[in-house]
Amino acid sequence: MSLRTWVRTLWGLAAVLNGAALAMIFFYAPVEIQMGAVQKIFYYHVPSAIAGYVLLFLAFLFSILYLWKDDPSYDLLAYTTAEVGFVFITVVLVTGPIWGRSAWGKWWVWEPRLTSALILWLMYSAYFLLRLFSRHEARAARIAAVVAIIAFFDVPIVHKAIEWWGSIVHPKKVVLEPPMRQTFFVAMIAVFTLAAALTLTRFMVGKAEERRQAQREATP
Amino acid sequence: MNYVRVVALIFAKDFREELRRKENVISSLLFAFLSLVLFAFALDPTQVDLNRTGSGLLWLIILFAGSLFMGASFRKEMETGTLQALLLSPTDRSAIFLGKFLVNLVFLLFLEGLLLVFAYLLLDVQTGPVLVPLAVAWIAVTVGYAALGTLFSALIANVRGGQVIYPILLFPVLIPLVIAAATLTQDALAGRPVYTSQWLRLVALFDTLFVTASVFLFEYAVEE
Amino acid sequence: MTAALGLLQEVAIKTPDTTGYLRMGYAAIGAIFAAYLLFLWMRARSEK
Repeated sequence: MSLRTWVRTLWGLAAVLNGAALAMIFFYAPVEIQMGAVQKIFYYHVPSAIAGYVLLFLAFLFSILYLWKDDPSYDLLAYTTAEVGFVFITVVLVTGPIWGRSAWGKWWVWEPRLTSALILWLMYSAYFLLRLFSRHEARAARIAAVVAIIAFFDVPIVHKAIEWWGSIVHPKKVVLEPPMRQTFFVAMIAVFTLAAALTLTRFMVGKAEERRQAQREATP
Repeated sequence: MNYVRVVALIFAKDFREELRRKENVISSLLFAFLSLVLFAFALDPTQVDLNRTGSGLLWLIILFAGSLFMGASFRKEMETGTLQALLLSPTDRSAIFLGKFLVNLVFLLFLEGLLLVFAYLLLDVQTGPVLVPLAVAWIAVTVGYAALGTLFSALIANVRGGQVIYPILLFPVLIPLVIAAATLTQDALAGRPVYTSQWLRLVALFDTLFVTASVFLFEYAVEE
Repeated sequence: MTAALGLLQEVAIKTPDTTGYLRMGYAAIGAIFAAYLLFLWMRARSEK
């Protein structure tokens, strides 16, 4: 199967799964008794966080592979996974405050996990800014790889520091009723399929750009 | 030549160069002093007890003035071609990094010392009785800061407009260090234990991790 | 006394209506993904 067919299939799957997940969230999952309907943000908020971290971890791995093997494909993969991961972290950072405004009465409370996500978001914003600044630079890919590696090493330390520093805590253990659990499970698969589809699409766009660039250099 | 001697030689070269081209040193120090004066106006020192709440602000000054200094540390080398020459020579690349790192470390510590003196003179921050634990905490924090500052400075040395993104790139990564520095300074000034603090352990972990990572990654950062 | 307690319980378990925030949340999620897809689409188009 060609890459293009793969992407089509994935997008089809993502559409069906996300449709199913949304239907379950709005019509099947029960309303949480204390927070009300807003709790249903959880079904995309949490899987997006997990998908975001997984993608940024992949970006870290591809960055190491790039420095090690010196193969430009790994650079594109690192760029791709970082970018899509960044989109998912953005989803977390936007939905978190909306939920928080409803549950805590304030748009932003310096809740540890949300704060860590914000710092991560800032780090990768700088990463993309660096990519933008250095796009005509021979060492650009190498520079970006080093930054991605440092940023990911920093994640556990940031988490620890913010945890000690902050005071408000996420519920450590969430008890979910069976319909909630089923909905969460479907939403999880849906979000991950969407992440895979976005990543592959972004990768293909990047490949097309590379081909175009090569053509431009070949024709004087 | 053994490794330590190479590092020492590169350190001596960079150190002399910074002293000879003094504009970088002077502008960073003056910037730090100026920020301290601005704090006095922004904060009303008669009402804010800087012994308690000022520690984080002092570290903000160190962060800004330090990045002003370190951000330029490879730029001169790139312009004059010194770095290329060094890279072509059979010296171990990590030695080039360590030499530069030590220069930055020495400068930052000097800046911090000076800042404490002026914080005492201008804002009556009493550091005398707790100088030893305070020094331990600040040196520990500065090691990690200088390591990443040096590495990132090498990264952006050739990038057009690199000076602009340097602090944007560096500061988010340093956030754990900033929290630790502010807390440790506050603890030290209040006479609370520093050596047994969990924050000092976190800083030690940060230092070990990022000094190692920087030494290792520097090679990739400068390779053509 | 019992009446007051009953009232208290009723207040305590009264679920707030937060549908507005729920809608805002999912609208935001949709907007972010739509914006990113638009960004990708424009990049792909400019390459043709």
